[in-house]
Amino acid sequence: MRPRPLDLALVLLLLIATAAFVWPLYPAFIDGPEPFVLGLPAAFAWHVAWVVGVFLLLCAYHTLARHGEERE
Amino acid sequence: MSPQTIVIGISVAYLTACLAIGASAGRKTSDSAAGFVAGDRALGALVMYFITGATIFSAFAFLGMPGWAYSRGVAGLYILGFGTVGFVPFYFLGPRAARVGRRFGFVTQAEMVAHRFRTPAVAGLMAVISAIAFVPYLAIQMKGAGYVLTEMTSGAVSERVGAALVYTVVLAYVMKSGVLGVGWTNTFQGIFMMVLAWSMGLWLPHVLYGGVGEMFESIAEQRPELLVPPGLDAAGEPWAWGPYSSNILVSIVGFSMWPHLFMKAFSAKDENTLRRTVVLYPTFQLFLVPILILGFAAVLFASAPDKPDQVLPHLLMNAGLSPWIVGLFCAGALAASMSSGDAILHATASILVRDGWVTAARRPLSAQAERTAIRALLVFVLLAAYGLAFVYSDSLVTLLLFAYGPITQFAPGVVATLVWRRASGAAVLAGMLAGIIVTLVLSQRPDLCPWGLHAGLFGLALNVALLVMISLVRPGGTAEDDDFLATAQGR
Repeated sequence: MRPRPLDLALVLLLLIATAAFVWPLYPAFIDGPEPFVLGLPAAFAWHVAWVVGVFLLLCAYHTLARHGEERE
Repeated sequence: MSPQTIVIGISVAYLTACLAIGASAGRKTSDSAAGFVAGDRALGALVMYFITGATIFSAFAFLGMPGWAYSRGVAGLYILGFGTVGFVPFYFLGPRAARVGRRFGFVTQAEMVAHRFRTPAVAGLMAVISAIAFVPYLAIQMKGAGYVLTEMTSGAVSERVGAALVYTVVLAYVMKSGVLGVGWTNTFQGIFMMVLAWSMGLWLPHVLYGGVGEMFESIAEQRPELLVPPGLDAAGEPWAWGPYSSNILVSIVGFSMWPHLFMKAFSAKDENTLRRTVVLYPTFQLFLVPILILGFAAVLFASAPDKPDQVLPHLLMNAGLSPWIVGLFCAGALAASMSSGDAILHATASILVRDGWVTAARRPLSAQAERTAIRALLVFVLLAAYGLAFVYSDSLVTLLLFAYGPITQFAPGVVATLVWRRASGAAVLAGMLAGIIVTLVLSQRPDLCPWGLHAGLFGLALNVALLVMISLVRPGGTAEDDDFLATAQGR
């Protein structure tokens, strides 16, 4: 069974998301309390943004994967 | 009415509501293990969402996590990181497990692994490790419930009485309704906690600081070190990136492997329900945001709690709030404790019977006898946890940390079970055992871990290496394995 491009894209984006929660991506972008976003300090806002981002990524993957299965 | 009476009244009303919902939930299931443990594989999207989400919303979420935010700043955010990514592997593993579970009648992950490799010893090992992890985990939930009741009634209810009261209710509905009792109470408790967490998380900073933004600006001025990633370590020094990152990575790998979570693959009504549960899971993380905000709200508060874990009750009791609000919050904290405690209790008893007795010791039971045995063990496990909570209180966290690493070591074997044809039983068992031993030894000797990395990471590396090498030298892959994997893939 060959992996589909859609699956590879999901794995790649999830690896990026994981790196965003740990070293090296997290410290590369956030190094202090500033800037504040919607009242939240930078690290907090960064986490919330990635949680929302992963949620949207999973929604997109789920929709596209089901669409692909139906066409098959 | 005195403030204590109001808080106790709200808590008792809440417990009564949980009992009513939990006890009436299991009426329709069959009188078998599949009914009691897996809800006859018929759970819908709503219950699956909350039953899996409740594993995040434990007593730790209401007590430990705000304590982290308060004492270690943004280090408390780590829970958002691992919880968001950690459940994603389940999108692919869950439906596979569900298919083989339906065909071969599994209700736990260990019996699935043991069946695929015809190695009952794996189930025994996984049952023992799970029980060692779960009993202290349950004891911590109980202590949390007792503690909250004592604090919020200003000592009118003692910790022991509080914990006994709350967990008698849990025992009653889990015993009566099995997984459905867990599922429907978790749904009720989850909605209650979400509403409460968000309203308190936004309202309290407003009362104390004039708003969330104002609160964080004051913290940035007076305690900026709390807001610099990755936060502070347990000693209050800036945490190094090695331990911080490896903690999150090990938690991500281990997350889906927690037996009370993985078992729910066998409970879902269909594959799409399982997949949707995983897709929606990150939204559960967002409900932790207000609780973290509440932890930060205590940073510049006039008085300090004795221990960071007490920060939230301390804040609520000393902020001059109405006893009605304190009572509601008390019920929310009980909800957090109960909604994790019930699933852990249910899983431990089910695992000991299914994996320990039936699979590893090869003593098949009739459906009726199995259900009776699980019910008897519910009482035993609960009493053991209660004894542990109030007798060996000092070593509880150590015991839990001791077991937390080994659970992660289930991951390579479980993944191999569902995807890799060549994997063999000997390889899975050797890898898991070696991984568990290395993790336990290194967690006792952190000085041996380079860059302060998490011990579980080294255990995982050895686990995977042994699994792959032994499987390549002496591969499995019989016709039975082909049949098993074909079922897993839905062919």
